[in-house]
Amino acid sequence: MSKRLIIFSAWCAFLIIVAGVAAWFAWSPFSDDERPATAAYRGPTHK
Amino acid sequence: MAEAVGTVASLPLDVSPIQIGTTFSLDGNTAQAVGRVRWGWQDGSWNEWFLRADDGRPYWLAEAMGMYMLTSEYPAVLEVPAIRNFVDGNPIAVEATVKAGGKWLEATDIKEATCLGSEGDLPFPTLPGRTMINVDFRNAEGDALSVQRDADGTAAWLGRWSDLAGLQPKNLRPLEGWTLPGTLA
Amino acid sequence: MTLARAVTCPSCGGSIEVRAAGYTVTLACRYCGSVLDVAHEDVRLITAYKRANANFAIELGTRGTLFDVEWEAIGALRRRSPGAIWQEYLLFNPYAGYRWLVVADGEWQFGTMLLDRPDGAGASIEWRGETYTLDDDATVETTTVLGEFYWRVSRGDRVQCATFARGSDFLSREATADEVTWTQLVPLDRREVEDAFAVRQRYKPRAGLSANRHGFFQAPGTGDNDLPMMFLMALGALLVIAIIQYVMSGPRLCANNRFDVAVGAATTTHKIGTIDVTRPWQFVTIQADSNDFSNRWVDLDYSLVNRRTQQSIDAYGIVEFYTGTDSDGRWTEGSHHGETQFAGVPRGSYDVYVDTGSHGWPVDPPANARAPNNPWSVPEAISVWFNACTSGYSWGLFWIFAILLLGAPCLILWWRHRG
Repeated sequence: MSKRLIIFSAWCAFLIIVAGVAAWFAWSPFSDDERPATAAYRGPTHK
Repeated sequence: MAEAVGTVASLPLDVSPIQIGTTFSLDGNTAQAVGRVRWGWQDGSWNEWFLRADDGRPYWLAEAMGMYMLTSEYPAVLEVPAIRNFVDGNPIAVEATVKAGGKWLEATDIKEATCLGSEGDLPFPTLPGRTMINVDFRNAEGDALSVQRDADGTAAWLGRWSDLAGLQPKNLRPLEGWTLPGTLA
Repeated sequence: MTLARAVTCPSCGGSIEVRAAGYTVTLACRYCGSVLDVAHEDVRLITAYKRANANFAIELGTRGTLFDVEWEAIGALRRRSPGAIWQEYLLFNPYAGYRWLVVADGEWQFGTMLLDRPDGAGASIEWRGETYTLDDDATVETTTVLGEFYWRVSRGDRVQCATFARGSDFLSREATADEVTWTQLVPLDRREVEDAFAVRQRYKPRAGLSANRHGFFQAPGTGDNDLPMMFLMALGALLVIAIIQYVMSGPRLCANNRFDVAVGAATTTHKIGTIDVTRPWQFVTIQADSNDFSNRWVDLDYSLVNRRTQQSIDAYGIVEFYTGTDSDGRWTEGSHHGETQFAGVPRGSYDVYVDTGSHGWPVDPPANARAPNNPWSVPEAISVWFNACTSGYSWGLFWIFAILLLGAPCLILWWRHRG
C-alpha cells in the first residue's frame, strides 16, 4: 500500500460520503427548478 | 619462526576498522592481529593482517573493499600442475581452475604488488619495495585461495571470504565520526 | 583519530577530503569533475574537466541508515545502456564495507557485491539454492563520475553487463577484460530511501530514453503497481455511488394526465395530479411526451404547490421539434419528449400544475376561424402526456463523480506513457 494509494482511497471514501449526502438531500447541480429571474424568455431554444 | 622487527615506512592513513590488538573468533579459536603489511599495486592497495591464534597457529587476513579473506598456509596446492607452473615463474591465466582442500576454485584476479610498509610482528622481513605476484582464487561457496610468488619463492594460503561481522571481531579500531553498527557491537 | 585525508585537486586546486582513505583509488573532484588517481601517496591527474556535474539525486557526503547500518554516499555514477539511464551511488561504512544504491525509473535497489559466485553459465544460474534467469545483456557505459571509488573509473567506461532475475531480485554480472564482478540487487521501498538520504527529487533520473522501455532495471519499474488497484478502487467507489444514488432516490409515486394544448392560443393552467414526497428530500421528475408535430414548441411551466403551506416550487420545461431543408438536405431539431427534474423537494404532499403555451415557428399558424359551414373544425392542438413522479436519477452528478474518481488514475497513466 503506497502512500499514493492510501491518499486515493481516502479520496474515494470522501466522494462516496459526498454522494451519500447529495442523495440524502436529493441535490443536483443540474436540476431545472428555480428558473433564473432574468429569463423572461419563453420559446424556442433551438435555431 | 623468525620474527622481523616491525619496519615502518610511513604507512598512509586509511580507514581500516582493524588495528593491532583486534581479536577474531575463528573456528572456535581466538586470534589476535599482531602485524600488518600493506601492499600496493597499479590500481590500489590493501592490508594484510598477520593473526596469531591462542594455540599459536598463524593466519593471514587480507582486507580490501570491505571484504576479508581469512587464510592459513596450505603448501599442498603448490603440487597442483597449474600452480607448479606458476611457481616455476610462468604466468597463470584468469579463470584457471585448481582443486584445493577438496574444493574447486577459479582464479579471479592476478596482481603484481609492492610492499608499501608494515608494522607490528611479522613472520618474514618485509622491506618496502619488495614485490610479489598475487593470485586470488574463488568459488561459489565463498572459499578462497591465495598464491603469492616473490623473490624468495611461492606460498599458498587457503581459507574463505567473509564480511567483518562474520569474523566476530573485538577491540576494533575506533573511527572518528563512525559508530559500530549493531551487528558488531 | 582523524580520518581525513585531504588532497588538493591538481586541476582546479580545490581541496577534497577522501572519506574512504586507504581504499579509494579514483576520485572525481567535486568542483571541476577531473578524475584523479589517489591510489598512491601522490595524487595524479588522469583526466581534467572544467566543471563537475553534480546533479545527482543524492548529494555526496550524505549519510543515511538502511538495514540498521549508517552509510555514507561517497561516489556517484550516471550510467546508461540502450534504452535506459540511471544513477548509482557507492555507499560506505568502514565496518560494513561497501554497498550500492541504484535508482532507475523512480525505483531504488540496494546492491551488495557477492563474496561467493553463482553456479552455471548461459541463461540460467544458481546462487544460494535459488535459480535466476537471464533478463538482460547489454553494454553499459558510464557517462558521469563524481566522488570516490575503490577501482579505476572514468567517463566512457564500458562493461558488458548481464542481469539475471528471480522475481524482483537480481544478480548482475559485469565483465571487463580483467575481471568479473557479481552484485546482488534487491528492491528498496522508495520512501525509505528518500527519507534516509534526503533525496533531491528533481535530480532523479528520468524515464527510459526510448519508447521501448526494455532497459537494465525493467521489472522493478513496475513498482508503481498500485495503478491497477487505483482503477479498481475508483470503479468500485463509482459502483457504490451509483447504488447509493439509485437506492436513495426513494419510492416512485406518480401522477399522470394528458392535455391538449392549442397552438397560438393563450397560456393555460392544468393540474396534472397530486404526488407525495415521502423521504425528507427527494427528486421529482416530470416527463412530457407529445404526439408528432413539426415546427412548433410547447412551453411548460411546472409548479409543485405544497398542499399544506401553499408554497410553490417552479421549474421550466419545453417540448419542441423543427424540420427543414438546407444545402445539406433535410434537417431536424428537438424532440417530442421533455424531462424536467426538481431537486431537493422537501417531504410533503404536492399538487402538480403545468402552464402550457404553444406556438408555431417561425410564426404561429394562421388564426383558426371556424368555417361557418364546418362545425367540426377545431383549432390546431398538440396533445401532451404528463407523468410526474417522485424520485429520479441525477446522471449529471453521476458523471461528475466518475470524472473525479477515474480522473486521477487516468492522468497518471497518461503522464507515464507520454514520459
